[in-house]
Amino acid sequence: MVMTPRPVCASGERRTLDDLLGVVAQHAGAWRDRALATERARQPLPETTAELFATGLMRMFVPARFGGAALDWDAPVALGRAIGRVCPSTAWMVGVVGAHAAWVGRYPGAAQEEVWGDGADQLLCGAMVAKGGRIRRDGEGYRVSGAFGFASGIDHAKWGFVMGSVEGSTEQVSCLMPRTDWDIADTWFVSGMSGTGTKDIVVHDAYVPPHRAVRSADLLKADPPGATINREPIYRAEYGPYVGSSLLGPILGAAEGAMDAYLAITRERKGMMFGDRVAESANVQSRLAESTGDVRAAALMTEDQMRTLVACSRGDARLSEGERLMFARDRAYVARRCSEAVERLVKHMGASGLYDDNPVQRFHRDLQAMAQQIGVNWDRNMLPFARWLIGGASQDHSNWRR
Amino acid sequence: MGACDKSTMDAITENDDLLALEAELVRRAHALGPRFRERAAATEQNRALLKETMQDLFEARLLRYFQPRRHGGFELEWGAQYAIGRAVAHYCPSTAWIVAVVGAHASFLSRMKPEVQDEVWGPNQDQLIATGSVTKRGGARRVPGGLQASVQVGFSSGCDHAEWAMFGVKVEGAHDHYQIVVPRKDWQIADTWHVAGMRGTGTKDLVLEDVFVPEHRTLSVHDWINANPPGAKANPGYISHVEFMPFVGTSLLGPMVGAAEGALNGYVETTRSRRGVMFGEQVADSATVQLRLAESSAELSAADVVIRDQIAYLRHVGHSGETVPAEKRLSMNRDRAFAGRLCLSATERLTAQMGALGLFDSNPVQRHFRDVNAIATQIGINWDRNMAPYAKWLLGLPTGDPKIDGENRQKAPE
Repeated sequence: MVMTPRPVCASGERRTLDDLLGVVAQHAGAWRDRALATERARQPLPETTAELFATGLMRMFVPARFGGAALDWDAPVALGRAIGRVCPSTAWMVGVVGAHAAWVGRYPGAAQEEVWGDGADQLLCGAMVAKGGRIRRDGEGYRVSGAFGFASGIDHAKWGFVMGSVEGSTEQVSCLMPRTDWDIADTWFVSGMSGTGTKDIVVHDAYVPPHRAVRSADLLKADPPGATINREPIYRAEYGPYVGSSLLGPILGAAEGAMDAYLAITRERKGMMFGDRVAESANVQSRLAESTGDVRAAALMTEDQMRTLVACSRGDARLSEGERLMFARDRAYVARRCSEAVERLVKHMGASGLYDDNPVQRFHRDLQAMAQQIGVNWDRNMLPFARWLIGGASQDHSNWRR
Repeated sequence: MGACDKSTMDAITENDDLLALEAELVRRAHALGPRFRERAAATEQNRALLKETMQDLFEARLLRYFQPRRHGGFELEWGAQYAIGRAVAHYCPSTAWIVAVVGAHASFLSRMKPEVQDEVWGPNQDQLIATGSVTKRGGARRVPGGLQASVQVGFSSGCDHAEWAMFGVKVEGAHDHYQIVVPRKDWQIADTWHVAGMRGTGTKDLVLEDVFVPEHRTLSVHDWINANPPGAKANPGYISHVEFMPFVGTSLLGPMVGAAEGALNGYVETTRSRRGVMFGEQVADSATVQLRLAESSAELSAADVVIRDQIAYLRHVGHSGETVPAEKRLSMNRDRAFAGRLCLSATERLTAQMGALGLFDSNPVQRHFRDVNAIATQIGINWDRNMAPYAKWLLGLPTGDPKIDGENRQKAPE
């Protein structure tokens, strides 16, 4: 198929990360105000979704030839962090769901044309866990049926992809399907990140042609099919090292948002029984300082990781095996620092910390929910690094970091 | 040792690339490291560095990183003591303390009057400059032409090997304390250093009995610590020019992180081959052992990242001459205490799993653990002292520091 070059962007300019961070600053107040309503709606509000499209935030990783910004790997982290500070669920839509465009940008050109040919503003949801769903070979393509779980933002999606093993083999494929091929099963009754609307895709025996059904291994490796037309690093570099990093933005942002909210409350708060000024308690001060220390360390570790990952994706550096495992370890560690930082504060907010309109407790529940993600799972990400270390690949701690 | 032959040394002093110079000194620290490790037990028993270690340090120029250029030094970027001290501490934390903490005293002296700098470094450029951080008794009084001092100061690391010492004394009738510089003949050493960790630093007391200190060897602490002290006229490096207070507190971080990393390295090495003494199982196969190792290593990475960020900021301040705002001073104090706790917790977690094996003097992890504990007692990283003021500042409460409380504004945490 011959690709016709398209104009860079409908509005003429290709957005930079700074442009998009400016957009977030403009809308942050409104998104903070809607955080409780978003949680209660158990999905992104239509007005918020409209803003995410209108401002170009959802085009962060859309290929430039379709009018996207095609930014680097640090973009979802920086944007997710900035938005997470006011509403982690909205941050998830940009930092995690928005990042799916990088995945689809690695597909063959024909699939990309179908998805973005009519416009760059497409919400692409992804379901990576088969919940009874089946994928079978069918001629050149695959036949998909049944349920696949955890498709964030599905209510607003026109396209969805599911991942799973092909029946009778261990081969994983990623199947991209239009909205007409599937329905939504609302299973999202949860304790945190309710506003992401992370429901199930239920596919009705759909045939997925080969250009939209690609072996996951072929998409993950360096220079996947889409790299021949999209030349930016996110479509070309090996995908594996970046997989969990987009979670860090909303996680860090949620922790920072919790600190902001806790401070605003604690500056004024008086003990309900005795009228004492809570801020004057030495224990309160010590906990607050420790939690800010936790979040600061988490932020610096994340920034350090993203600097290296971006340099590697641009070909300026190579990621060693040890660094790759170390970064996975750091992601779990960052998530733990953030969730412990907020937990330490929430535990001592008294009964006023229980109410829905106290943002600290929502940030806390959101953090607990995000820390469940496999990409930041403690056991899964901590152990491989230790095994590698004991295995004798390196004894010198100081050589691990650049 | 080939790594330190004279021609290489002369070549690098002519080099203007300060970071390359720093990297060269780190490389030398690693090259000498195995010797320091071999001597670590003997150094501890000696309760002071061994003569041959001092000779190695001087020969490799590892004590000249902040020494003025006009006296054969390098005037490297602030934080050089972190990189070098951290490397040395992998092998021997006490030696690292002499390198990073005592070695950094060259920057203290570089802010004093040029005459005393010439006196100290003129005849011999290989100098270790001791200090004393606490006055135990006595002080000084003003006499014609200088000060007369009778004083005992505590915590003078490396004093056995120092030809000169510099410390603050209270002067009768004066509002301010004074820094004084005194030669070896003026002091006696009181050996009080019988301690649980960092034994090899030889951190004893200096006793001065009725010693005359001429004017040019004295300077009020106020003039010394504020921007543009007398030494600024003589030395181009920003360390001799900046307001010094925000920079104080960096030097112990290299030995601290390096000592903890040394414990982790030793733990890994031991655990690779270790079998349970009762049941013969391979200890490294245990998932909980792996988890401890991973968590401790993550803590040490976090400590390192936090400290390197602080150093990068201080370098920026050094070059730009920017003022360090109140919030930043407090958050830097918090970060140092936080990094200290990470190092201690990382080391404790590992030693807690070593079984009775972890008790023996012959186990280097055990020494590193005691050393990290000893470093963690330092006031500059004391938890209570450094954490609460930042929280108070955030909460809009007085921190107790008048200078900072003048600038107090409510802001978001960093």
